[in-house]
Amino acid sequence: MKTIKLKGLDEVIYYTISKDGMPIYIWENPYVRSFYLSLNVLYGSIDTEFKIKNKKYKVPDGIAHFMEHIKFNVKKDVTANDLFDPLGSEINAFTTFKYTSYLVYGTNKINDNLNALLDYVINPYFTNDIIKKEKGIIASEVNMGYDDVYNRLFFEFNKCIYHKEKYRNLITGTINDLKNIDLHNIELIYNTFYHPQNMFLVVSGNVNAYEIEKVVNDNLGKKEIKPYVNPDVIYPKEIKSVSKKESIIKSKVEVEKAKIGLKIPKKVFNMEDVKLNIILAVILNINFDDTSDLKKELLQKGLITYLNASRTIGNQYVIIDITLESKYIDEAIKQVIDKLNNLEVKDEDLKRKLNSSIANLVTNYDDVEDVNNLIQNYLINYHDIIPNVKEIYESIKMEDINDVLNNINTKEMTVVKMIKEA
Amino acid sequence: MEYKKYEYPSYNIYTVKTNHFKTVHMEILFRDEVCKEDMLTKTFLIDLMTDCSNKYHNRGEVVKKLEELYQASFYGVTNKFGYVSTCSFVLNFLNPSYVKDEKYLEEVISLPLEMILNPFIKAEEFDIKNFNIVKNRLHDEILGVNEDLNKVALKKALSNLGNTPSSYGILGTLEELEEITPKKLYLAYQKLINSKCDIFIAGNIDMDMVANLIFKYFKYPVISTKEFNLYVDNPVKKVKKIKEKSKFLETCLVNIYSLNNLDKKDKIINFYFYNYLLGGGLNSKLYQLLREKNSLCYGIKSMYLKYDNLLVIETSLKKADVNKAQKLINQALREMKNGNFSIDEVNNAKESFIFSLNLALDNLGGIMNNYVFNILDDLPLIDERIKLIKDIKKEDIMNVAKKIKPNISLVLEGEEKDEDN
Repeated sequence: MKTIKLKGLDEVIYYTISKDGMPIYIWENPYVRSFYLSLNVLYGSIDTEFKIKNKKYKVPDGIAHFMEHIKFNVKKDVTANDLFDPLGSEINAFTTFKYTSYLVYGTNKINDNLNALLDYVINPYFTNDIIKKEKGIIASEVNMGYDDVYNRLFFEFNKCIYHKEKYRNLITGTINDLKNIDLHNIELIYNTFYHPQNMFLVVSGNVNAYEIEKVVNDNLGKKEIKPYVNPDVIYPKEIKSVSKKESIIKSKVEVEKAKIGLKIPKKVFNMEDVKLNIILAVILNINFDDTSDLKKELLQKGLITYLNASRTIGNQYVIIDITLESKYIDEAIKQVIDKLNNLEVKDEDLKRKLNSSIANLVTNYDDVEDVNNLIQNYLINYHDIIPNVKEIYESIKMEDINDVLNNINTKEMTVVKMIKEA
Repeated sequence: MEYKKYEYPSYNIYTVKTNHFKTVHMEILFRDEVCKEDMLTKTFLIDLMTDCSNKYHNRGEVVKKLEELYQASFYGVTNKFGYVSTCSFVLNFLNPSYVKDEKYLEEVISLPLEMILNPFIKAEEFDIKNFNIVKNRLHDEILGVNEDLNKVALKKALSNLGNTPSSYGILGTLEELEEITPKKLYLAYQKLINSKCDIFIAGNIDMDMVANLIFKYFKYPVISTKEFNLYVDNPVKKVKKIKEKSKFLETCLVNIYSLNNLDKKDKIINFYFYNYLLGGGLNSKLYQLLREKNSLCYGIKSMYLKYDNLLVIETSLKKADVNKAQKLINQALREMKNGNFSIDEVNNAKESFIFSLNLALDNLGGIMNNYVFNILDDLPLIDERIKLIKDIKKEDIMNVAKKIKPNISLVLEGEEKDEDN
C-alpha cells in the first residue's frame, strides 16, 4: 500500500493494486458515517472498434450503456437490488464516452457492500431474455433523450465539431443501434473489457484502507479470472477542421439556445493537460462568468438570459464550448464571437480567481461522493492522481495565461442554433 | 453535535456545532402564509436581493466579493410547504480556521445580513437595471418549464386540484410576471421584512461569537409570534380523468391520490414506508411491475407530498402502454392494501431509511434541513427518527394504505414516432 500525499491540502489517498491487477484508490474520513464505492470499467461509448491479437472487432453504438443496464442481473430472478436492499445501501451506475461506473453508497457493512459490488459487476450472467427485456426500457430512455433539448443541442454540437470522433454518437445508441445488440456482442464486450486490469476501484469515506485491500483480494481470489486479452481500441484520426461551420435545429423549444465551439489542436499549447485545463478554466471564467464585463453587458442589454463556458481537453484537440440562451440569438452569438476574438485577463482578476479556486480545493474534501468523483476525474482525464494541484495553481503566472491566450483562435469554429419551429 | 438556541427579541438563532466539515452553512429563513398572488413576486424578490444591494450594484460585484471571501456562495430559495411559503437566504463559506485574516468571519457573516437589510432601492423602487435582468431570466425560466415533459405533466395534474395551495407554482405565469413592477417589489420587500424570521447555522465555529456577530449586523425590528398551520387537506371532490396532447415524443402518466386522516406518526414515518415500498426504491412494486417485469418504461416513481397530503405516481412511456400501466399501478396499490409485501421488504426499507438519515448527518445541508423542520414542524431529530423507524410494523403500513383515495389521473399523450432518432 502506497500513500499519495496531496500537497498543501492535508489529505492522503491510499493506492494499491489487487492480486488480479485492479488499481484501488482509497480516501479515509473517520468523521463521517458513510462510504462511497465506485467500480469503474475503462469501457465507454466510444470504444466500439478494437483489435485483439490483430483480429478486428466492431460492435454496435450504445453497447457500453446497454451492458451497464443488464449488468444489474446477477443470476436467474436475482438482481443487484436483491444484494444491496438488505444492506440498506443505494446503488446506481452511469456510462460516459470513456468509462462505465458502478456505484454503491452506504453507511454500514462496508465489507458486504464491497463484496456485493465485485460479485455483481465481475459476473458474466447474460441471457437472450434479459437482452430482449432491456431493449424496451432503453428505447424509452432514448426517446427521453430526444425530448431533452439540451441533450439534442449537445450531440448536434459534437456532430458539427467532429468528423469522425465517436463523441458524435449518442451514449445510449439510437433505437436502430439497439436492434443490433445481441448476446454474442455482449459476451464479447464482457470478456474483453470487464477484467480487473481494465478497471479501477475508488473507495471514499469511513473505511480502513488495509481492510479494503484485503476484502478485494479475498473476493477476487475466489473468482476465476481469465488472463487479460489486452485489447487495442481503435480511435479514428480526427482532422483539424470542424465538420460543419453552422447548424440550425428547428424544434418546439420555448427558449432559443446556441452553442459556439472552437476546435484547437492540443499540441499548439505545448503544456501538460492539468495546467492547461486550469488555465483555460480561469480564462473562460474571467471572460464569460458572472464577474465578466461581457455577461454584465449582455444581461443589461437584455441580449441573454444564460451564458456558460466550458472546455474539453481530448487526446488530439481542445474544444471550447460557449452555451447561451437568448431572444436575440444572432446578436448574442455575434457578441460572444467578438469576445472569443478578444479574450483578455487582468492581473487582479487572475489573482482573485486563483485564490478562490484554491479555497475550492480545500472544500472539495468535505463530501465522500465529491472526493470519489474527483479521483475518478483525475484517473479518467489524467490517468493518475495529481498530488501537487495546489502548487500548480500557485505557479500560474500571467505569462502562462498569455501563452494560452495567444493560441486560442476562431479559425475552426462552429455555431449551432436551436430555434423555434415555425 | 451540539444543538443550541439563542433567543433574541425579534428572531431566534439555531446553531449546530459539528467538527466534521471544512465549510459552514447559514440560512436566514423568512416565513409567511402562502398566497397565490405572492408566489412569483417572492421568487422575483429573492433573486433580485441576492443579485445586488446598495453596496454591490450587480451580480458581478456580489460574485467578486464572494470569490474574495474564499469562494463563499450566497443564493436565495423560495419554497412552499403546504400553507406556508418560505424565503431562505443561504450562505456557505470556508471555515475561518483555514484563513489567516482575523476579520474574515465578521466580513463573511455580515455580507448576507447587509444585503437583506440594504437592498438596492431608490425612491421606494428597486433598481430598474437589475430588475430587468431578473425579469428576463424568470421569463425564460417560466418558458423553460414547458421543455420538460415531467414538469409539464405534474404542473397540469396539480392545477386540476382547484384553488388549493397544492396547485400553486413557485414560478407562476408570464402574465403574473408582467404585472410585477419595481414598486410592487418594494412593497413585497416591506412585507418580507415584516414576516417571521429565524436564522440557522451549522459548522465548526464558535457559536457564541457568531450569535453576537449576527446580532451586531442584523438589527431586525419585527417581533412575530405568529404560528403556522402547515398541512393542506385535498379531499376528493370528483375523480378526474384527463387526457391531453403534448409536443413531446414520450407519453406521461400522472396519478394523484388524496391522503385522508393521516396522524402524526403516519406523516413522519408510516407513509414514507408505504411510499418506499410502492414506488420509492428499485425493488418497489411499481418499478418491478412496470419496468422490470413488463419493460413499459425507463423509470417510475411515487412521491409523497407530505404537506399537501398527496401521493403522486408519475411515469413516461409509449402511448399504447398507458392502459396496461394503469392496470399495473392499480394492482400495486391493491397489493399494498392487502399486505402483499414481506417482513424482509419492510426490514430492507428500514435499512434504507436509516441509511438516508445517517447520510444526512454527513452533509451540512442535510443536518440543517432536519433542524429547520424540527423547528417548523416539530419533526423529531435524526437519532429520534431512527428509533421510530426501528419500531415500525407491517400493520402500520397496511393501515395507511387504507387512507388513499384516487383523485386525478392525467395522460399527456406524446407524438411518438417509430423512426430512428
